[in-house]
Amino acid sequence: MSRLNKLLPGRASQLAALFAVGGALGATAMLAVKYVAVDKLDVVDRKRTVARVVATVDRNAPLTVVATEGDWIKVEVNGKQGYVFGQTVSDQPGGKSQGVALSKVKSGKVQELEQAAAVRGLGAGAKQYASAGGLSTTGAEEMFRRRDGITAAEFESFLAAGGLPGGRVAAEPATTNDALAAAPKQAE
Amino acid sequence: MKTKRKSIWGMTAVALGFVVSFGTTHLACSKDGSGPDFSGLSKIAQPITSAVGGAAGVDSRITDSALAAAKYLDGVSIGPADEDGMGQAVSVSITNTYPLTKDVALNKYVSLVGLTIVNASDRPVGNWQFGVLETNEVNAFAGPNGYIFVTRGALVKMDNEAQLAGVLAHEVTHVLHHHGLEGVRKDVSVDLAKDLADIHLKDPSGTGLVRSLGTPTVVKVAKSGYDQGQELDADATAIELLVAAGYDPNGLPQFLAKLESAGGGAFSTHPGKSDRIAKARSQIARLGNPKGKTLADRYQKNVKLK
Repeated sequence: MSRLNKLLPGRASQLAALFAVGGALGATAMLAVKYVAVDKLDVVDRKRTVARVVATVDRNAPLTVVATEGDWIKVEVNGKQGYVFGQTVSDQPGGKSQGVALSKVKSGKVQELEQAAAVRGLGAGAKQYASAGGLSTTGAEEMFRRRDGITAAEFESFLAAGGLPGGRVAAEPATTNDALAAAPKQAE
Repeated sequence: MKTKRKSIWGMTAVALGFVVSFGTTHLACSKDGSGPDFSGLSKIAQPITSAVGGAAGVDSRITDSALAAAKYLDGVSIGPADEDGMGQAVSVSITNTYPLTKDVALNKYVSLVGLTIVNASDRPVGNWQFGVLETNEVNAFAGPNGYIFVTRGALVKMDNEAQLAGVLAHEVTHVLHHHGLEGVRKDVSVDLAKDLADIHLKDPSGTGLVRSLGTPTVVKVAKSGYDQGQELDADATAIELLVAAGYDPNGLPQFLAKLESAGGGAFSTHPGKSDRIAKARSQIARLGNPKGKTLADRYQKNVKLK
């Protein structure tokens, strides 16, 4: 501070110091934050459907954005880093879950419903449905166990062994027009 | 007093039945034949129920509730949690109709294929479950929010992993495009509207309405099949998903072609199957006949046919 005082007299040095501090604070504030837009969200260790859960967060929890990687966002929460799928977070904290009006549901053009939250097991509604109909919940509960039993390593291994990319492949057009010429003409 | 009230209720029920059926029939034939559109019902219901109510001196809660029920249906909003509840009910229903396979390794293989498709979709996160059902019926089922089943009977028909992936991609699309919800909307009928009036009396907030009425409907839709438009939509997106996931997209029309002569099961009774196959092949050609994996060996190894 005193060195600065020698270079810039009085008030100017104070302002310079303020800018320096403010600049540092500003840099931190510039890191983007996303807010969880579903009731319950798993932050996972890779950009895959089957992945290890790093943290589970509730609606409106703030997540610090580390990077954007395609449709996924790398975030930091509670000191841990992981990925979330873009559609599950938003720029502003929101209200309750957004539904779609039943009267507006139309074939092929369904008004997009909010991404559903992470589901942990059979809910009260399904249990009520089962007991009202004298049905067993064993099979439905076993479905959850079987899904939980699939590890990220198994999924990676499955993709690799099958030569499957694990991302989204864009359709490559044929190099000649023979295929297109051979395609049956269809009235749409 | 009690007797008088009873007969008034009876008269009102008949009158409301007339109102509702008239309203429904009048509005039933939407241009694309997609089923009853209830959005205008409340407009018709209001003057008639008021007249009935006035003339019979009936308890206005009854006429009000019919109107409220109609208005409620106009704007009933189904959220992700409601959809998941319906899907769970489908899962409960399906696993009580057919036994879930005890072959955990087989179920895991089928799940991995399904999850590979999901991984390449617009919704790679959230609930996605796959189960194999021990029945010779050739069939597959999808409940809202990702509860998907395929039968051993269907697996027996398949030659390779791309064909399995095609069937699962088709079911995944029913979920992605919320076809179960659409089935609930389309199934709304005279009886349902009468039930609405009755339920509204007991539960004015209507919060249980979607679950109590929508759930049995969606289970029925999931089990009996979706309509032709939804099936074609599911085929078209399935082709895209197969390509995106790295599978040979011909897997889907190949599987459909196998069923042309087979009897029984939802797949073979879908109307216009030849049309579906032709459309699928045409779409694949328009995409430039993309190459993809068939993985016949892996399929044969994991799905040991009896």
